[in-house]
Amino acid sequence: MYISNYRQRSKAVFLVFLIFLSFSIARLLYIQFFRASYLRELAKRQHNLFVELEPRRGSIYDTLIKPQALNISVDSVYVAPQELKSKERVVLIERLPGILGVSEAFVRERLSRKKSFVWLARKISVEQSDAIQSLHLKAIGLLKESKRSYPNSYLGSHVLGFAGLDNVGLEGLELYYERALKGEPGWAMFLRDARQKRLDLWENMFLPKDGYEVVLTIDEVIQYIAERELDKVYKAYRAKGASIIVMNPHTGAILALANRPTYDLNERSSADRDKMRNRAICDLFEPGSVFKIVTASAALEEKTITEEDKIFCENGAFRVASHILHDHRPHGWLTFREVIEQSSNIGTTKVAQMLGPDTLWKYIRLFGFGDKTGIDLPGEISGMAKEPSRWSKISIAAIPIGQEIGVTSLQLVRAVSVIANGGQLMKPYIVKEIRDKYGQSIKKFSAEMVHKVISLDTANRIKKILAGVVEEGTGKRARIPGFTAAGKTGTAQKLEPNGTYSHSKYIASFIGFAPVEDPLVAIVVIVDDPRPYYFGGVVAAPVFKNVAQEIIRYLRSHETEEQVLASYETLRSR
Amino acid sequence: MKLPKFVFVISLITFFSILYVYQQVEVFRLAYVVQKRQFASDDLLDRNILLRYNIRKKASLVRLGDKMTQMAEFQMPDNFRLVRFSLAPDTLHARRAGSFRKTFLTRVFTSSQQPEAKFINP
Repeated sequence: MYISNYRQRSKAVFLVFLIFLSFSIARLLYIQFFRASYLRELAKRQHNLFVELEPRRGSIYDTLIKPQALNISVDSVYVAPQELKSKERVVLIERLPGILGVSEAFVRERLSRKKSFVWLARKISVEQSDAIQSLHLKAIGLLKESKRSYPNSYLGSHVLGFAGLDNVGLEGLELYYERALKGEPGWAMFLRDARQKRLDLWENMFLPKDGYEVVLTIDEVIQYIAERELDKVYKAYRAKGASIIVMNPHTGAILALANRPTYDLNERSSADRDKMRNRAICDLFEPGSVFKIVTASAALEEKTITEEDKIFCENGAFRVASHILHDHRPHGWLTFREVIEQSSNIGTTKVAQMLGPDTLWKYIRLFGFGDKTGIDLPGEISGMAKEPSRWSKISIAAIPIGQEIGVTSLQLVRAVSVIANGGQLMKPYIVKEIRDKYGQSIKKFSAEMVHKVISLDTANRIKKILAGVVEEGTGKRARIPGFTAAGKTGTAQKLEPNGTYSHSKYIASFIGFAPVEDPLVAIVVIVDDPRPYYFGGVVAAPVFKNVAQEIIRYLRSHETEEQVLASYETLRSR
Repeated sequence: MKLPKFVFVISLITFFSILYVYQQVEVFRLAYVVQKRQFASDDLLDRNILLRYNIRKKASLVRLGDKMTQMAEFQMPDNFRLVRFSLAPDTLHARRAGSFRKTFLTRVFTSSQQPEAKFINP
């Protein structure tokens, strides 16, 4: 339609522009007032990226600050299946199984997923990462992740435990101190560019709090010495299992704790649950003759008997109720000292009968049996000890010689430490300090006495008797050249499934401490079902000797001048 | 007069707008540079940690112990003591001279030489 009048034409054009302008203004007002929040949100999502910042898991160190567990950055490989071209798919199916050690079917399945992000492998080695980078494929990418690694492979495996794929503690100290080690995550609102790529610019950031570091009482060198000797006896006697604990008897600090079988902490996927079990605190067993230290201590403390009092050992056979008790060798008259040195079951039973069930029970509890020690490791059991009201007629013959009672290795080493340190029951502990990444101490742990068990005089007398066991008795193979040692051997019959005592399966044990005058270490050695020999004096005592000898040399060589003088003064005052 | 003022104001606004855009672009460009260098620095740090870990692992008592047990030529007896002898230089010299003389005498007066341990130079 043609408008002839110039003015009218101008007005028409103006009207069109006015309508357009009004529409634009209306649209602007609508966007500004009614869609603002939605669009602001959309822009935020496009431009910003909320990222949770992972804290660094705290490391675990031995007592000399040598790292036992730490984090290293490794690559994890992912693929974006939807962005994959067919040529790239072929290359990946061909090359990835060889690089990652997975099956072709696994790779095919992962690539067929209808997702924009799929993991192919987590925390791979440097060689694997380099091989994947050499493929130069855009759809495949590498992300840095933190991997928990253990530089000493199997050393202290049952103490350290391990953290899983997502750095969460699953066993041992990694589990027990999970809260301290894991730290607290942070977050940040990073900016993104037009290609949705994250930039190192942030609007807001809450820094993560890195996990604390844990410092152990364990000494790496002592742990190695203990594990080396334990390994030898485990293999030499084809044992079912073995445990060793080395403890400072004065403080309760654990210097070494090891079990066999064991596993490599870096290769734990191939280990079964049996190897992961911390036998030293989870396994219950009848201790046998090593338990006689409780009966002997109780008898001396209660002044029931003295070392030189004579006891008739019935020439090797003694009837108690319906049961015949035997000694491993027939004895006639023995002094109380000789009863313990020669490990006479009959002599010990007669002393226990003099003590009475209630008094014996009192000392069993005082020595800590039947209760958890409270060590800072998961999975500890309390053992099994029944009150006198539940004893049978033969319990008075069985319990004093270490039958009808269930103990753990840790309870035994704590019990012998009572004698070594002059009569105090100490709480064992394995962590001495928790500190931050700058080395500032957050929490310290130290020696804690639970209660007094026996007097100093009784402890010294028992020490002499146990030194006699090593010098003259069943523990001669525990003698340490150049040092004095004291201890007790044990050869305990294991229970068959039908409830009777086995005549072919034994637990060989030795508990002791050295040097006698000023004990540096208390050690327990337990060997489960050794073959062909099974006596504690033959199997376990030499392990004690080898371990104690090297540890004392090691500790003495690291003593400062002040420590040497202090030891000398302690010996002189005695 | 109104037009030049208008043009001046528009130019000024445009200039500052462009400056703002340039600033934003520079910030993003520097962010890319920083990110690249940060990535390189993180990679170096990670490699450093990995290297230290590998050194620690190779120098671990477990690995050294396994290596030593594999070495058939090197064996330590189960029981041993380390003993250090120290001799005065004069004594050593006199003994060496004495041993030479003895050998010479032995050579002269006897037909065969007795086997004799030689002093190791401490």
